[in-house]
Amino acid sequence: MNRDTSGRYIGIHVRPRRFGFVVIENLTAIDTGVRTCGHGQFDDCLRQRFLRLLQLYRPSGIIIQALPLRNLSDGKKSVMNAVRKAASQCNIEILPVTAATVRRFFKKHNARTKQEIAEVVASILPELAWQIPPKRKPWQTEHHRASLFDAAAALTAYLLLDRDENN
Amino acid sequence: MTDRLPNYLRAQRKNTGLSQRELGFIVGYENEDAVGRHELSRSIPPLLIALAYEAVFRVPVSELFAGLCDAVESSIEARIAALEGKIALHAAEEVDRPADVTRKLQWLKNHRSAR
Repeated sequence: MNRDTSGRYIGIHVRPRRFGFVVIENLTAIDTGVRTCGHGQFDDCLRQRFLRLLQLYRPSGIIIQALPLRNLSDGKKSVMNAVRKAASQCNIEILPVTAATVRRFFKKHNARTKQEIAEVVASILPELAWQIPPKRKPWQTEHHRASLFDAAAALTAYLLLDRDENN
Repeated sequence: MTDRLPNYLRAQRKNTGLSQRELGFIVGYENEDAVGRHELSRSIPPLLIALAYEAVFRVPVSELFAGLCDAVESSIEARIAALEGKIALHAAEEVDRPADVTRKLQWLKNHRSAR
């Protein structure tokens, strides 16, 4: 079944205490970013930040990589709960996509590593091309923009996998 | 079909890598506050600023403010239909219709047909 790529969607990638996001409309990226809350009323702060995004963009759906709840850290659980509450408040559907689906989509494009996946994402969404993180050295932590490419990867895999498989 | 956003200023700005402050400087503001308000549709920019945005991004104002444009068009269509009805009603009661009334009705009809 080909998914409707003409609508507006928000893809998010959950990290402990923050999330990366990409908003696309008609397969064009119209906003990207990483939202975080350092401390204090963390859950509520993150929910408010996500709610503002939903109210601003009124997406048709929220695409998020499905996470196995039993092994989830407290930080990630908080983010997932914040996302669910905000989505429920705005009556917007959460559309989970599995890690296997994302891998399968990018395998078709000969992309396995995060860097290769980011480059494929940038070929699908050229608006993101200038934001590709530099290639990570083994001793370095992940670049802060990596999470928005993870979000974009889940989003493009969700929308385009069936189209690719039908072609 | 998804409704268009009131404006696509943020999308255009993000594509350039410019900050709100930098965009504000280019269009003539002292700080980023007004650009932020425009992006979030908390206020509508004055005409000259809207034209400045068009000059910066090389995208027509009607596309930059697509959702707003759609709302205005919708409202205009409704008011044109109402005016056409009003003029046609008065024209029907007149024996000798003045030329300008005929002209108006023709223009209104053409405008409706062109949609």
